[in-house]
Amino acid sequence: MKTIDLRRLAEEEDCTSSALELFKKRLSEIARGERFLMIVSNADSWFALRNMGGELGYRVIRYWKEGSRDFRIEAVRE
Amino acid sequence: MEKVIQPEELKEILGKEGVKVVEVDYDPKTAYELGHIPGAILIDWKRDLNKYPERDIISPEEFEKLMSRLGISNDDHVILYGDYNNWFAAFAFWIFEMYGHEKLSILNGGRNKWIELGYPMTRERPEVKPTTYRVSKVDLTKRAYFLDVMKRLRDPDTVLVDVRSPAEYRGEITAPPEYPNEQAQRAGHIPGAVNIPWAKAVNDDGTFKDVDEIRKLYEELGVKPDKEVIVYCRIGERAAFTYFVLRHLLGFPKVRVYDGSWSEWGNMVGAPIEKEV
Repeated sequence: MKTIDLRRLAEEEDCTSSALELFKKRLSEIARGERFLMIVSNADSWFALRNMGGELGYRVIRYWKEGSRDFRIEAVRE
Repeated sequence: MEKVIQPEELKEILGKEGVKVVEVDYDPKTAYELGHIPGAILIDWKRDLNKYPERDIISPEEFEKLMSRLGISNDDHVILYGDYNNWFAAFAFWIFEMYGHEKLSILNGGRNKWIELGYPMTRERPEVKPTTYRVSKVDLTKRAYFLDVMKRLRDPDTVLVDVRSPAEYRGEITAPPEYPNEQAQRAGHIPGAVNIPWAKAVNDDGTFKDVDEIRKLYEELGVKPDKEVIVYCRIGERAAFTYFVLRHLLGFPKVRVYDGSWSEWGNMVGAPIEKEV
């Protein structure tokens, strides 16, 4: 399954908005109907991505916390 | 009044008379508008706290109008929190403090911790009854301007703290490419400044580290309470976060935010810089 891992960028630049731009670029590389995994380093970004699927073009299947800086969402591209 | 309020404490007093919860966001579209603490009102950092095109913080009169519009009274206990690990909430805190609002706290961990704890969020905007807010005193000693910093270069009683990333401090980059509005002509740091990134004061979940641990971190690098401390970053918001840490967690008496920060210093003709690359 393709993975969009935004943790490293967030650590380097402290910023979710730059991460969001990168995320949109990576999302555009995923085909419609394909399942993919998103990984972010904080709960705030996790919450945002869980709630932006309608706007950005994906449907959330499940989400969970893997570790203190590892928050995941599995989704399907629409 | 505790300057730091824990999420579980806030949960208990939500909706109480005289308590106003305010979310301060850099990017409300990816934060407040997707969900916020029930009853929280929004301050949009760019729109509400800054003056354009001047590049300045709002005046006391504009602050009065903002508070009145948001339904905040002078006696309200205002609890600030927000996106980006509370950076912009801390910037708001700094302005509230300069304009004399006394009952003021920051939510430990901001949006991040509240969400991680699974506490309630809503998209519903609270009903606001406008007030007549009055600024009774203004204390700008918490703010440093360019010339204040210039005068204190190499002053043994002053310590400059650069809270940006090490790459910015060393002069490898001026600002990340994603921030075209925050670029500078030159890279590096203000001569004599020590580099203590803002994040050194927080845990993985965004809550503040133990006070003794934070004190040790700063004092080992010469940032001590007998000094006048001037904090800067790129546009002032991370500096305001560290201002809060130094002033209110460690109790340093003389701390100022240089909100012009690197986006001013790095572009200013004749301002000396140091760089390591």
